[in-house]
Amino acid sequence: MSILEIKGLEVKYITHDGTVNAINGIDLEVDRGEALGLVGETGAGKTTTALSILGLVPNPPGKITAGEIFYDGRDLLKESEAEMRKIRGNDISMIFQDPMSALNPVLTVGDQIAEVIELHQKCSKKEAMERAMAMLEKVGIPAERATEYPHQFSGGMKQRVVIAIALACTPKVLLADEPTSALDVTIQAQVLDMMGKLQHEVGTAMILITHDLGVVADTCDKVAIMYAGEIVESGSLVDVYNHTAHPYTVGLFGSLPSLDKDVDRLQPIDGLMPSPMNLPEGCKFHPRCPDATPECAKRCPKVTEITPGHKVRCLKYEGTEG
Amino acid sequence: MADNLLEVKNLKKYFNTPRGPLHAVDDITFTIERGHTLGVVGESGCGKSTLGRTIIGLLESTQGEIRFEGLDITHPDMKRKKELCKEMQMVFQDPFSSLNPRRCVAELIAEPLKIFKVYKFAKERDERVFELMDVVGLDRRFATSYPHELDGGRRQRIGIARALAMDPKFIVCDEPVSALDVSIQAQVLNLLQDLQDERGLTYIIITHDLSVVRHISDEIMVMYLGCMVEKCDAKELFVHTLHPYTKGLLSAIPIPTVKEKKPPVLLEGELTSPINPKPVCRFANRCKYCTEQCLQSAPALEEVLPGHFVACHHVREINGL
Amino acid sequence: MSKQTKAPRKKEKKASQFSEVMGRLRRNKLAMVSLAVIILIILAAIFANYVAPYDYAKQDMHNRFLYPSLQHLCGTDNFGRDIFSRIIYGARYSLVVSVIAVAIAVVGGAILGATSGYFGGLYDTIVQRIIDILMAIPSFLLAVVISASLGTGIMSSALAIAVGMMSVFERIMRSSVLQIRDQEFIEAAKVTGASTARIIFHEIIPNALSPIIVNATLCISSAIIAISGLSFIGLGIPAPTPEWGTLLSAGRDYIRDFWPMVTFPGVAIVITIIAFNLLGDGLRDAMDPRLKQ
Repeated sequence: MSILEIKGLEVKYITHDGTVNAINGIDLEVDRGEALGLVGETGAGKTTTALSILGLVPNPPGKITAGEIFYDGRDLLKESEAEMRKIRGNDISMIFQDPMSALNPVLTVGDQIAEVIELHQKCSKKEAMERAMAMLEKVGIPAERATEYPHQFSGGMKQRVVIAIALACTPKVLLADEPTSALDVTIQAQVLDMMGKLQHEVGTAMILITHDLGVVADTCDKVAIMYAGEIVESGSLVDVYNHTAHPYTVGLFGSLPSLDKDVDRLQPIDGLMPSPMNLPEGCKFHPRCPDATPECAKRCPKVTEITPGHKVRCLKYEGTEG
Repeated sequence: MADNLLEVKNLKKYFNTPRGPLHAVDDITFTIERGHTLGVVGESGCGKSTLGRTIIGLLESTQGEIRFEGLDITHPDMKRKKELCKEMQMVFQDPFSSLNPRRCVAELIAEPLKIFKVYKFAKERDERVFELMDVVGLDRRFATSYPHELDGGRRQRIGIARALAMDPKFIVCDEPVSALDVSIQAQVLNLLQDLQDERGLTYIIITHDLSVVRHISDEIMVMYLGCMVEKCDAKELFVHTLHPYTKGLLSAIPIPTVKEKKPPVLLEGELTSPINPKPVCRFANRCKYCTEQCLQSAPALEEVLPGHFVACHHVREINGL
Repeated sequence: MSKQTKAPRKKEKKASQFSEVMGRLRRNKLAMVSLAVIILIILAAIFANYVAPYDYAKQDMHNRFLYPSLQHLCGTDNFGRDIFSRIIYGARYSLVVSVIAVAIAVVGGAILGATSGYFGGLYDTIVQRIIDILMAIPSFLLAVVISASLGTGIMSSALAIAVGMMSVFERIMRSSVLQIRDQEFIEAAKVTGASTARIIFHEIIPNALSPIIVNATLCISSAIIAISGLSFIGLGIPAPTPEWGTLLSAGRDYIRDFWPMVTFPGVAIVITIIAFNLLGDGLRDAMDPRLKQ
C-alpha cells in the first residue's frame, strides 16, 4: 500500500518575464519502506516536486495549479499550514543538497537534532538530547561530539548530521535532494551505505532526488526519470535499466562514460533541455528525439504501462500495453 | 625516443599557512607525450588543481622543474610567460565564474587575439572569432549574447574556444565537465576528443570522476594528499588496480547497472589536510593494510608492472605479485 | 534545478546589461520622476541665460525685498536682485562643484581601492591605514580644513569635498575587488596572457562598477549639501557668485523679517537632494534586483 501518492501535479512559477511550467502533470507512488529514485537533469522539476510534497513551494511566484498529493490517505494540498507544520519533520522530512548551509552555525549539532525531537515528540529537553545522541551514534558519529559546532565537522560528517536531523523523528517519508552530490566519491559511498542501512532499519520510504543514475542503482528499488516537468519513464530498477524504453532514458545511459566497457565515442542526446517558459508543443522531448515522427510534434503522449509497473510516456509505445 | 611535450620533475608546491607549510603538490614527476592525454584523478583537496595551475604558470612552483618542448619553463620571465600563453592554455571548471559577465561571447573569445594583437583589422579578428565558434559548435547567432543568457554547456564551449584562439599545443582542463549535466557532459567530452584528433592537442584532464578519465585519457595518475600514488596506462588501471586507495576509489563509484553488487570496499575516514606532513605513507590512516613500516617511511614510486607505477610499501603482497 | 525555475533567464537574447538595467529602472516611477527633475535642473542650469528672467547680478534698489509675484517668482533680495534667477544660475555652481567633487572622489577612490584590493600586502596595509585616518575625521571638518588652506574657488572646494568622500569609494571598490579577484575569470585572463593593468581595468573594474555608480548618485546630494555648507560659512564660493549655500548665507540676516531669501534656495537644495537620493535608490534596485524584497 502506498504511503505517498501524487496525482496529476502541476506547478507553475508566475514571474515578470513569463510563466515557468515547472511541473506538468506527474503521477508518482511510493510504498512504505520503499526507495524511489527521481532522476533528471538541471531544471527538470525534481526539487520543485519535493517542495510541493512539503507544501514549501514559494508562493508567490510559485503556484500549484492542479493535482493531489496523498500522504497516508490525506490530501496534503488541502491541509492547513498549521497541520503541514506538524507533518514536516515528523512524518515527512527532507535532506537538502548543501550540508554546509543546512546547519545553523551557532548551535551545537546535538541541540539542532534535539530541537526537532522536542518540537514533534513532546518529550523533555533531557530526553530529547539523549535521543539526539543516540541518533548521532546511528549515523556513525561518536555521541560525545554532540556538543560540537558544525564548523568543527567535515563535509561528510555534516551531511551525516543533516541525515540524523531528518531521521530523528522516524519519519514515514524521507525526501533526499541530491544528498551526496557535494561530497567526494569515497565519502559519498560511506554516506549512501549508511543511509541505505538506516532506511531499512527505520522502515522509511525514501524519494532520492539525483542526477546520478549510478547512485540510484546502488540505493533504490524503483526509479522515475523526469524531463521538462514530466515523468517520462518509471518502473523497477530492472525495468528501467535493463529494458530501457523511452528515448530520453536511452540517451541518458548513452551519455555516461562507462567504467568497464570501451566506447570510442559517447552517444549524447542532441540539443538542450527546452526552457520551462517555452515548452515545445506535443511531446516535450521530440525536438531532441532520434525516433521522433511528425505525430510527436502534434500530440502529447499518454502514459502507457508496457509491462506491469513499467510506465512510459512516449507515442512509440502507445497501444502496446503489456 | 618518445616525443615528450611536457616533462615535470620532482615538482613541489607548498603554501604557507599559520600551522606550517601545506604540501599541496609533493614531489611529482611525469612526462606527457605529444598528442596524448593524461588524466589526473583525486578527491577534493588532493592537490590536482594546484598541480594544473603550477604547470600552466598561475602558481609559482616551490621546487622542481617543468620542461615544455625540452625548454625549462619553471621560472619564466614576463616576456617568456606571455609567449607561453600562446602555447599552453587552460579550460576552467566553473563555466559560470570563468567568464567575465560583462562581456559578450565574441569579445570573450577575441580577448587573447586582442592581447597578442594578432590581427590589424577588427574585421579579420571577427572572422577568426566566428571560425572558432564554428570549431567548438557554437551557433554564430550567440556572438552578441552574454554568458548569463547561455546554459552551462554553451558557456563551457566559449571557454574552450577562447583557449583555442592562439592555437596552443597543450591544454590543461580543470574539471571541464563536472559542472554540467550528463547529456551535456557527453557533448563536451566528444568535442574535446574531436579537437585532439584534428589538432594533435595534448591534454591534462583534471577530474574527480574516474569514468570520465577512463573514457578520455591515455594515461591516468591518481593523487592522494599531494602525492602521486599510482600512474599507468588508462586501461591497465582498471584491469590491474594495485594501490589500496585506487581500489577504494574505484569501488566507491556507483555503477549505473543492475546486477549482483559486490560489497564495496568502503574506505574509512576522510582526507586530512597535508599541513606539515610527517614522512610516512599519507594514506596509512585510512588503509586496512597499514603496518609499522607505513608509519615510519613514505613509500617511493616504483615500477611494479611494466609502465605501471605505484607508491605503496605492500603493493606486491596485497596484489600477490 | 531550482535555480532555473525560480529565476528564469531573460527571454530577449540580445539585451545588453545597460538596457536591462534601464528597463528595470523604468518600472520604478519614483526614480523616473526624480530623473526628470534632475534633467530639468541640469537643463535649467545649462541654459540659465535663456531661462532666467533677469540677470543674476542686476541690482534694483527700488525693488528690494519684494514678495513673490508674477514679475519676481521668488521675490527679490536685499539688493533688489531676482531670487529665482539667482537660484537658476546658482544651480550651475552647485551642480558643477558637486559633480567635479564626486568625479575626483570616484576616480581616486576606485583606483586606490582596486589596486590595494588586487595587490594586497604592504601596499594595501598602508593605503588602508591612510583611509582609516581620513575616515576618523568628520568629513565636513576635513572639507573645512582643506578649503581653508587651499582658499576659495570652484576647484579647491571640489577637492576639499572629494578628499572626504574618497574613502567611501575606496572601501566599496576594495571589497568588490576582493570578491572578484578570486573568481575564475581572472585566472582565465592571466592564462590568456593579459597584463596586470589590463586585468584591473578590463576585467575587475567594470564588474565592480554598479555599487560605485549607485553611491556616486547618492554622494552628489551630500556634495551639494557640503558645498552649500562651505559657502554658508564663507569658505566655498565667494559672495557675488550665486551658489545655493551663498544664497542661504546671505538670507540668514533677514530670516525673521523676509522669508523668501532663505526659503527658496533651501527648497531648491532639498528638491535636488531628494531627487538624487531617489534616483540612487532606484538605480541600486535596478542594478541588483536581488537586493529588493
